[in-house]
Order: sequence, then C-alpha cells, then structure tokens
Amino acid sequence: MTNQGRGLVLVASAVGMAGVLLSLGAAYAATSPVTATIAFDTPISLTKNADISFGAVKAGVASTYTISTAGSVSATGGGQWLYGAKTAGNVAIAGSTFQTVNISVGGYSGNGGVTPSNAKCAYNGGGEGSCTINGAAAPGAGKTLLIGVDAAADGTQIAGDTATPSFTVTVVYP
Amino acid sequence: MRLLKKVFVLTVAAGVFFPGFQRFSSAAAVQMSALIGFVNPLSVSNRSDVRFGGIHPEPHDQVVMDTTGKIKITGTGTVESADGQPGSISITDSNDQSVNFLPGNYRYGGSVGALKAICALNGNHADEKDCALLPPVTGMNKKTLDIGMDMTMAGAAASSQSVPSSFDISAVYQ
Repeated sequence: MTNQGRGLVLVASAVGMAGVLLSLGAAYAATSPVTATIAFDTPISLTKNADISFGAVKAGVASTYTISTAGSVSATGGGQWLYGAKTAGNVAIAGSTFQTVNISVGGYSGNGGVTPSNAKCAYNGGGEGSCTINGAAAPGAGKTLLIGVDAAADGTQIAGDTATPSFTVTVVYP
Repeated sequence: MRLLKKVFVLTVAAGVFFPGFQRFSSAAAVQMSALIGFVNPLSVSNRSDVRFGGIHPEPHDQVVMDTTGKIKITGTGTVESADGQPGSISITDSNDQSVNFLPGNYRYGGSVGALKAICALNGNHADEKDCALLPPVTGMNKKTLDIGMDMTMAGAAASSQSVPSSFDISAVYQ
C-alpha cells in the first residue's frame, strides 16, 4: 500500500470513530421529567396562658407538693398547703389542622431548694397523664394543654421565701 | 452536552429545594415556671377559758358575759359575782394574709338551751360581736381574741350544778 493509500485508511477510521462517538452523544441527551412536590402548613405556635402556682405552703418542712392539671395541691409528709391561688399551667397549642403533634417535657430546673419533676399533662380536655404524648390531635386554631408537676422542697425554706422551679414543654410535628 | 448539563442541574436543584414527599417539620417550646411560696402556719394558743363564776339563772333567762368579763342576766335570775373571766386566745402568723375566725362545734346541754360565742379582736371591746360575724383580719401578725358567751337557759339549773359547755374557735387563712 502506498503512503497515500495508508492516509486514506486513517482518515476513514477517524471518520468512523467520530460517527460512533456522535451516536453515543445522542444517547446522553435523553430527558426525564422531574416533579417537585411542596406542601404548605402552619407552624406550631405555643401561647402560655398561665404559669403554675402552688400558692403558699408550710415553710421549713421537706415535702413533695403535687399540683394536678385541675389545680389541686397535695403534699407528702408534713407538708401543708396553707393559702393562695392554686393554678395549673395552661398552654394553647396552635398549628396544623390535620397533622398530629408530639408533646414532651424536659429541662427540669430547680430553684430555691425546690426541684420539679414528673410533669403531668391533660391535652384538649382529656384526662391527666404523662406529658409524653405522641400523635396528639392536630391542634388547628388552638387546643389547650393543662400542666401539673411535682415540686420537692428540701425543707430549707423559711417563711417569706419563694421558689420558681421550671421546665420546658416542647411540641413538634412528628 | 449542554442539554445534559441542564438536566443534571435541574435534578440537583429539585433534590435540594423540593424534597419530594418529605413531611414539613416544625417545633415550638415554652418554658413553664412553678411559683411556690413558703409561710409559717397559723399558731393559735388558748390563754384562758371562759369562766362565769356564780350565777343563778332561771329558765329562759339570757345570760351574757361580754368580752371584758362583765356578766348580765336578762330575766329573773341573779348574778352573785358580776365579774367573770372571758376566754382569750392568741393567734400568730408570719405574714399579712387575711385570717378568718370561725366559731363552731358548740356543745352544751342540761339547763343550757342555746349558746353562742362573742368575740372582740385586739382589745376592741366596744366592737364585740357574734364571733361568726367577725370580718376577716389582715395585717396584724399577732392577734388576741377575747371571747365572751351569750347563753339562753332552757330549764332551771340546780344549785351548785356545773354546766360544762364548749365550742371551738378556728382561725383559718382566707
């Protein structure tokens, strides 16, 4: 084969390769539809209508005071409720009209020798129970969460003292 | 190739900004505080009981000892000694909370047909009244309650007959 003939073969091979590459390139250009789904809903909002108030109890006595979600106060040992307003916590929960919510309590923080624990909740007119509530009814425009708690006084309090232990109520969409 | 790049960019964008079917999530929290006050309980001590001394009432007589101890009989009976001993109790509390006085648990019999206690607070004898009508008292950490009696006889009391009668005075936080 002459040199000219060899050159023609190389050109023909190059053209063939280009054809193959071009046809592969056409396959890469296939399209696919993409659907973007986006749902809209109302964020959860909490409005605290009332903190908890035990009223005035007997000073100088170690006792655990319990306030129920109905606002009644009981005491262990020598503790005694004496007077004053007894108020359960009251939080209004608003949000989705169809999405259930999970309610939980944590972050207990003592104050003045009084340690809170064992919060109890009554949601949307239901009975008193644990504050860990999963799948609670969708709050919609507003549902009420009543809150009670135990408060353990260590007996170091003197007459005239006040204490404000605290904790956190959290509501989430699951 | 440009088209391929475009499709790829769209796909990534959809994945990042429109995560299809991912549930919208939201949470809200609120801190609850529990106010608890400490006070001393009311302290009540009986300083003296009521003593009439010698009287000779007739049936249906009204026998009154005021809160200073002066005895008077309305009717046909007679008083041997016009000076009796009024009862006296002291009440101590540690704060400015209102206190109510509640008479009750009247116990009498024999020739006594009716009985009620008369009270004067903190030496204010000019304003003595039925203990049940005392208004709530606020702002006096130490209180003295002088107590008289108003009895109506049912029948004749035998000579030297002792007629034990009693009642309770309760002091309670309003």
